[in-house]
Amino acid sequence: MTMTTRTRYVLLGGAGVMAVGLAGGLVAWVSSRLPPLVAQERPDELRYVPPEATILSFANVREVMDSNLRRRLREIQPELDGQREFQERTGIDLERDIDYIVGGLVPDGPDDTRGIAILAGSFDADRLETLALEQGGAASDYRGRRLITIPDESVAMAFLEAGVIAIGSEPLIKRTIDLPFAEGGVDSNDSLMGLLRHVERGSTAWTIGRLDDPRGGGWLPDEVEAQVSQVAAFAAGARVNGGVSGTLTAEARDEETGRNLRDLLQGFLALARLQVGSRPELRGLLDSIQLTAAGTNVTLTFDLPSDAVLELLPDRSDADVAAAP
Amino acid sequence: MADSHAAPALGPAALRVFDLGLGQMLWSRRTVFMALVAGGPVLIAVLLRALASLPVFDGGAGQIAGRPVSLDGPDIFGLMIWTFYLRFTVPVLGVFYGTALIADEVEDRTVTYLFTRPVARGAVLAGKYLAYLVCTAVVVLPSVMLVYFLVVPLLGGDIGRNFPALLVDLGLIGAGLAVYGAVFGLVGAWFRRPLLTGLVFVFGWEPLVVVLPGYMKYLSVAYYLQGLAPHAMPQGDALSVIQALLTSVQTPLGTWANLLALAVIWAAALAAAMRVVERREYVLGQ
Amino acid sequence: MSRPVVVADRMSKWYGQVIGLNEVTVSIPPGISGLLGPNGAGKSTLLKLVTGQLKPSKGHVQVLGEPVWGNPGAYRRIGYCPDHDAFYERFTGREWLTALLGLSGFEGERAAGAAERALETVGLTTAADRKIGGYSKGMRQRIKLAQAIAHEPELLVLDEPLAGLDPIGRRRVIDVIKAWGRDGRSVVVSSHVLHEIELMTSNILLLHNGRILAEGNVHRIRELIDEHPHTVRITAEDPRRLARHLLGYPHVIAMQLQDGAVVAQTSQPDAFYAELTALAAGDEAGAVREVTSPDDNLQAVFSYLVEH
Repeated sequence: MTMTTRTRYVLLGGAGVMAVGLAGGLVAWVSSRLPPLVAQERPDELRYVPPEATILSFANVREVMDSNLRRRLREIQPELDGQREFQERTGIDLERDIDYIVGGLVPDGPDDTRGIAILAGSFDADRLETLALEQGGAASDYRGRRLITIPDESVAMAFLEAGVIAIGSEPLIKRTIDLPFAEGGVDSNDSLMGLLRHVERGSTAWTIGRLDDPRGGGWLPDEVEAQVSQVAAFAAGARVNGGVSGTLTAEARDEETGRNLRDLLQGFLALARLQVGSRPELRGLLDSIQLTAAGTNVTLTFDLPSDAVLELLPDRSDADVAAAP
Repeated sequence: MADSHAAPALGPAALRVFDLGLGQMLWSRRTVFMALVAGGPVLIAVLLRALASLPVFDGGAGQIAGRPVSLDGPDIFGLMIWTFYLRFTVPVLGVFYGTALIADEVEDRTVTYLFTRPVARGAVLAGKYLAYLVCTAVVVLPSVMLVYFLVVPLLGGDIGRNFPALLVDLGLIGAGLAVYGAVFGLVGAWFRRPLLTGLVFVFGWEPLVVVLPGYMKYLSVAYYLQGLAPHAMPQGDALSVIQALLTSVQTPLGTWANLLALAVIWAAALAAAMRVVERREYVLGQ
Repeated sequence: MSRPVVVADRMSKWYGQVIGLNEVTVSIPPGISGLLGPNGAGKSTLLKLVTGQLKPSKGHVQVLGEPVWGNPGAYRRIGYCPDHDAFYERFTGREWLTALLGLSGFEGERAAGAAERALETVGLTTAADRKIGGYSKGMRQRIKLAQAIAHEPELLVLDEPLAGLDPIGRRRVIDVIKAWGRDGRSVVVSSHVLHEIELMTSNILLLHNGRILAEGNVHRIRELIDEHPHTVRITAEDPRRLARHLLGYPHVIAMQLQDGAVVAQTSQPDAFYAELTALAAGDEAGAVREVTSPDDNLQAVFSYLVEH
């Protein structure tokens, strides 16, 4: 080679910057990938959700209730819609009793699904049982767990362990009680749990689902199902504190579908931005939405401070008036 | 006496010309221009970092002065990749260097020393083209890398999570330099006023056909690069609204189709440029 | 008889509407051959056709028995020294030679050895590691010659190799060319100064307006040229001192100082150049930097030849 020393220095300098940058980026990327795979907060209660679940959700109710956003909401709207009715019927105070909820949709036959909710918190078991029996329920034991069924509403509730109750259909609740003794819960479903990589670590609430599972149909209205038929899976996560921020990732069946979905959403957002004049309360939300796409994944991110969330409340003005002394 | 009368194969011959041409190209007058073009985004990134250290940015991720903003570091980086690199630096360097692969040697009258050696003229072009690729890549790619590390962490951006996108961007810029270089290598070998022709192509033809409905966009390089870099497209401005409306009624090409199109353009342009150089007489002015 | 090194058959070259070479049929024998003609005669065009840089518009040319246009394999056997002053200025002489030898298929130590030999031949060993951009005119001419001879070609094609050289450099280059010829290799060298060509060979081709006027040992041409005063322009460290010395020579018939150079007219170029070389080697007239001979020296002679 007849390269001069100066030329060699330039090449080495360029290669050095690239090598250091790529190595640093790679380390950062691996670090960012590792936590979701091993440490995205997976509640222990996942073991009670059947492994064939196609949709899985988690909500840290305590964090939401303690958040600044909820505090501000409480000033405007002291009670959530239906909160009192829920408490009267179940004896559970949403504000105080529940730490977090794990929910799942489980296929039940070719065209049907059933839901299950696992609630973790501080519950007065005797009070809950008494309340259920007052509403026509029947109490029994199943594998050493207390099982309460309300035949009129096809709902059952079981006390799985101290501070953990399950609510759902009786067969599903029984299956739930069986699980720790049998094949294990949904946390062994790698295909579904793998979607947690799209969820930001520490999210207050998240939901993941596989729509390409042939066993999982039937829970969506037909017209909606037709719209999302090209989406293979989705993952959404939100963090609630001063406001709400989150991501929604849709995994398309192939790259072309991914592009179509991106274009569809992009067009929709573009049109929404054009029309924001007539709905100024949406401006904050629309401005915060970012659409990105990579391969088969299309991701929407948003970040709303509490003011922008309050703007979105439909009856805010009424609530303001009602809350005024 | 020399060993044999056969000219060396294209590859080894091109590497020899590359060896001779790299230093010549790297320290040519154009290097100052290239340094400005590649250094501009780095300077802007440094300014952004300096601004980010001001108290108004203390609000944390996604906030400036307590108000929500719709951009974060990765968005700004994507915008810079699209605006500064893919739509400006890459095609402009392609024009300035690609059109000069042979023209510079002709203008300096040093082409005589290359064309009287036992190497095919096509190998001379290929070697010079290789030198162009290394010369531009060694300046532009580190510039992108610096901008990435300066800009992505802004407003809560994450260097790790966006790293795959950086790799895609680096690949795209490399592909852009390769394809634009080959296209303008052909323009330089073929046209009498290659620089003007190249600038008209980059700043006139491409921006126009890419947003127009119809099939003219297939006669551009930007269209295929754009198809590979959807994340880098700016959003929220009038142009993106128009583009979103137009693209929503047209089926975009898939990743492999875009890559294939770029590969075909690259191979065809380079082969044609080599053929033109092989056949053309270069009459040096006295 | 040995096979000719260059054979052209009714070869023409047109630059658009301008003719560069007109139906030239010539056979250049091995050894040293001089190509003599005024500016615009077609010397450079002929040499570019011979080295495969240009394609004949009409007719054919073969060099060392094979066609040259589009035949890079043949270029290994040819060394070409162009007339223009163009270089990769940022390279050192050694780097440039080594890189060009690489293009000729020389690698590593073989290239380094060949470069060293060529540098030694043209007397540039001490300046080999300096950048060409810092070379004097004479050094640039010599490094240009070095790149032509470094790969030891069978045929050396030199376009005005003595232009701008100082008398010492001129002597050295002439010696290199003559030694090349003595080694049994061939040289085609162009010039517009008969005296220069004559120092190297008596086999001369006369070229004028794109045509070969005569070839061979042309004594009559020499006589004709001697009847016309020969103009020489000399750039020197102290032109006035040099002029005083030159005025003492009986064959110097006119002299003037022009832009810091001495322009002298002589009736005997041979004697003038010999004495100028001796003067440059000594110290009494100061350093002589560059000696050039304007093209119009030959113009009157060629006009006469065309008319007769």
